[in-house]
Amino acid sequence: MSPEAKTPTRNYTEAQPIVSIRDLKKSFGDLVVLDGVDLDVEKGEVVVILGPSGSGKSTMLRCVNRLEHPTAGEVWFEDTLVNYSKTNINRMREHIGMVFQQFNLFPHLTARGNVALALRKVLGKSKEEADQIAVEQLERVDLGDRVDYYPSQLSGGQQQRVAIARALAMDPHVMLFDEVTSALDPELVRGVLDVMKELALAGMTMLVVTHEMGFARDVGSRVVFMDGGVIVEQGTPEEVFDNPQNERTQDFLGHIM
Amino acid sequence: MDQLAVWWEANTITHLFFSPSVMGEAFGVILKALPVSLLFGVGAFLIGIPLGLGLAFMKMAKTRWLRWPATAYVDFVRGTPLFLQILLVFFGLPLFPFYKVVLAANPWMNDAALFNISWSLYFRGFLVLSFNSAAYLTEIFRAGIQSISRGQMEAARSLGMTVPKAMMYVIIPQTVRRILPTMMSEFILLFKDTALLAAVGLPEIVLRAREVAAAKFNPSPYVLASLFYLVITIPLGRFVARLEDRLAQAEGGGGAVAPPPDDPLPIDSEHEIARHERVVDIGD
Ligand SMILES: Nc1ncnc2c1ncn2[C@@H]1O[C@H](COP(=O)(O)OP(=O)(O)OP(=O)(O)O)[C@@H](O)[C@H]1O
Ligand SMILES: [Mg+2]
Repeated sequence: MSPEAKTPTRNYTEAQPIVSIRDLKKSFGDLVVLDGVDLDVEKGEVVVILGPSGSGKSTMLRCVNRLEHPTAGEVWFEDTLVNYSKTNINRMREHIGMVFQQFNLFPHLTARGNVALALRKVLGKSKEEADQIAVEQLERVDLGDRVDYYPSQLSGGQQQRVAIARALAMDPHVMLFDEVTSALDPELVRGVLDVMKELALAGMTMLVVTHEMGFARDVGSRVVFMDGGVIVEQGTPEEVFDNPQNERTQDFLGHIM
Repeated sequence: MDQLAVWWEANTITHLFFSPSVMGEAFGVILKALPVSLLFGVGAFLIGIPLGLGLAFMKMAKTRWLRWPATAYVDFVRGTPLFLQILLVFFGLPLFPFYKVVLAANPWMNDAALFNISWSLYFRGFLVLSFNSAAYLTEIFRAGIQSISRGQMEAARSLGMTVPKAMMYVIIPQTVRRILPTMMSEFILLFKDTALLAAVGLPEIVLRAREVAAAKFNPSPYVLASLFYLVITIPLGRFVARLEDRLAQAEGGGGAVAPPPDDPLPIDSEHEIARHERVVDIGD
């Protein structure tokens, strides 16, 4: 038996939630950041996570691919318990793409190099194959003419699209987006959101932390509102935006809109 | 012309420090010693690089059992004179029972090798110099690795890379570019420090210069020896300065838009220092 066989597993079919978060708690020292979060994400869903600054949105997202270690609770991805010490986390992360607010492109590599690196070093593809996939993915985010540019030669919006291509190239089953347009000049936001929308239409399962209410309403299949480390309210965009039940949600949306 | 030569040798200053005849004699001798100094400088530096990298990772490790020995070692080496370390190694090591056994089993170690220097002298010379520069390189590497933003490691790990892979393909390549100038300055220091090996009889530039100076009772060879060092150090120093400029420009973007500043690190009261120190420590 392989070592992974020791990992707690659950039966998983595509009819079930691809990500299940159960009573997730996370503290940094004495600071309780997540205080019991439950969330199921169905395959193909676009779950938009809203909430005030410091409410724990990023922390929750980062628990999904274990960039943060949960203090308690369970995070399931497909058939595997993510926050279990024997889980092969690197194998899991191959299937969980993540895009960051600050892009985090590798500055010493070109756009193509950024996308190709993990294809070669993680998936073991040949340089030719990796480069070819990289170019395809860059074309997909409309950067076919920028493959040989270094990150410092690209605009913020272009950099963020390279970052999306880099994650997509791994053929992830879920994509995590953490305020990916917040560091962009307003005129560059559109291009990135368009790419994300196309991705959603293509059926990608997405968890999106954002302050872009237009995107949430337009693309989100579900909107989740977090505050104080818990999910306060969730529902379809219409439910949450047009008829918020919780006072804190009303308050938050009142400030934003 | 003849008059000038007579005056030159009669004048105390010019005769003592710039005597053409003494320098002429010393030139060939010192020229032959130059490769020895270069060999010890370059060789010890190259050995010091992996040692320093290892020590840097030890200093950044989670467990104190790695951190503490590395810290103690680096503090000792950087806090004591190299001359003292040379004396310790050159006169202390041969007294070690283990070293005696090794030497007895391998008598060839006392044979003269390249440049008429014995293996055991080479061994001790490289040992003390490479371990010395390793300590300084440790701090350079550590500072360099920690200057790479956390997000780089997170991005690499989120793509499924292991920590060693992320280090190898993402963190180290960026670090090297950033610290190259500092490393080369460190090399210049080490190269100059090879002169201290004269004190334990290693026939490098200064020892040879001293031999001629003593024989001629004239310090001109020392002046000549300085010129030999300067021929190496000044161009290298200029090169470092140019490199620094170039890298500074490259970091500044060179392109249309500079990358946005990184998120300030979140502060975790309990692990505040540790978090800031360890780029390696993410997730697992
Ligand atoms: N590594 C860390 N160490 C200590 N505290 C942290 C760490 N990461 C996050 N925090 C704290 O946890 C709380 C929640 O942070 P988180 O980043 O999850 O909030 P957020 O909802 O994403 O906020 P924002 O909208 O500002 O991004 C904040 O108070 C933050 O300071
Ligand atoms: Mg956040």
